[in-house]
Amino acid sequence: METGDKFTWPGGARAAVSLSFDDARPSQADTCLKILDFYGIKATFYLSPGRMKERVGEWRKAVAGGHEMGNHTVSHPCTGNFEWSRNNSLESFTLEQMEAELAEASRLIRDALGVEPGTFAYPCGHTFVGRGDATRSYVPLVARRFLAGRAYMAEFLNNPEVCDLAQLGSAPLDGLPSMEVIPRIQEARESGSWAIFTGHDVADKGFQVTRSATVEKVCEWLRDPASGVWTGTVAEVAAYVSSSRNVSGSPR
Amino acid sequence: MNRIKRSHPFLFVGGVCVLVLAVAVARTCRKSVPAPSRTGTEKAGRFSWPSGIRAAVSITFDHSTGSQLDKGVPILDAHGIKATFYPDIPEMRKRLADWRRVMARGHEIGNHSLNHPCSGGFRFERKRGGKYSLENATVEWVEKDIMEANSELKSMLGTEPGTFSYPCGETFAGTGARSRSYVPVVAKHFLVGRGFGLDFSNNPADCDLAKVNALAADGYSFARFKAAIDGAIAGGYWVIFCGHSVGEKGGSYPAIEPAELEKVCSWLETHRREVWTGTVLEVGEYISRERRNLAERRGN
Repeated sequence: METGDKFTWPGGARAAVSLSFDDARPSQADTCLKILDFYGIKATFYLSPGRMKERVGEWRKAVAGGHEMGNHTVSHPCTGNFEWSRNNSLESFTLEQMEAELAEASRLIRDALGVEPGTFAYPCGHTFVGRGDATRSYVPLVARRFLAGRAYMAEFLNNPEVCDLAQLGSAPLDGLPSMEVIPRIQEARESGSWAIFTGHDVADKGFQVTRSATVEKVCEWLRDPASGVWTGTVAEVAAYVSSSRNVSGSPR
Repeated sequence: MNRIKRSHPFLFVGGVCVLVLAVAVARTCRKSVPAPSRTGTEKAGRFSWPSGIRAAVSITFDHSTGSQLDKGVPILDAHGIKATFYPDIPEMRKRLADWRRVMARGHEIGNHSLNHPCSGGFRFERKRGGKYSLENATVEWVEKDIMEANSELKSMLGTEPGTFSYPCGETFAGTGARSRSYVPVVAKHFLVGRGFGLDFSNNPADCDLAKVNALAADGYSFARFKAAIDGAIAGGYWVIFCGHSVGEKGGSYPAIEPAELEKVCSWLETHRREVWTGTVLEVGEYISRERRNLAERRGN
């Protein structure tokens, strides 16, 4: 174990894993939830409120089934380098606008599903607003409002002793066969880390598509007690990490 | 700041010595890179690349590993490709004479900080005991670290770097409600700040030069380079590649194989009239000047 002697995962687990899916894409409700429920794996869904409406009934059932519904803003602003975000770019955003986005997305999810989002996923994994010398981090807004903030495309695994819960790293799940996902979980097990994965659509193949077969094989692998891994939603694992820190004294 | 001055995006005019200048100009002229002259057909009010150019490419390498010198630079030079190197200063010091020669041939050497502070999520950061981890850092400390690197590089190479690459592509200092972006520091001291590992190319009309993205090109095949260049041509973008080593593993990163680098450099040389390959500073300066010109024309 690379983590210190003080930190232990629950039930003797040697690592934690969270699966997360962004944007409330209908294929998540139609395909992904069925696979997860078959294997008894709870995941986190970062909902775009507009697309959430396409499957409200399914999302309500998912809440009842123990999955987590998180906040992903209302309008999904990203860098204007993405053609589709050019008219809603973070470079032209303000912290006040972002605060309003966070509040409104939580309200829409609460009204539709009766649940308060406890964690957040940064659209495109970006954590800034503004440009040049006026660039500001919006991590503090997320830290004040949510237990955890999940970024994207990180090279590193989250170390439970030192990670910033407001800026957790996650690895892409889209397009990968299970044989490229499971080694990352094994790496987390070697180092006692928390591996978070992020997918989008769940289907056979395509752009921003996590393969159904990958979700199946990863769930099957995680479900096996011999895996030595605790699989929980982002909120569950973040709550555990947070409470462990409070008990053992802040690691920093 | 004391940035290298260039009156033309392709000509090196503020160099280290006259001989170097002459060599650089001679090479540049021999390669006959298209000049950024405007044709009458171009629409005023829209960003445009130099005449005939549809996209820009910058090839960058971080950490100044020996394989970049031994296997990468000869390939770049054989095709007249100018690249940008963001050094690990102790590593660069080991072969300083070689790196000076690389710079004299027209390649750019930028700033990659002194102590390479990254998230404590990285094992190498934890092995240093969290002393340099960004979670424990302040923006003021990061600025001091970057400026110390500037002084070191100036004493080693004779000029201060004009562009910066964010260690690990990360831009923050501190955690939670006290987390801050250090992009403003980079914007203050450099023309361009280059990120790492996100999945987009840069829109020259509007991108924030203080946080442009570089694709993580470690282990790239020619096909992957080419797909990214094709995407840049389709959108009129600036695609930046970042690698760490050539032909041998560099730290935790897979190498770019020499044969693949050779193919992409050869392609770029052949297509230099449609795709402009320049250093980060050269492309950044062109973009910056073109935007100023556009703003003036809009003002008229």
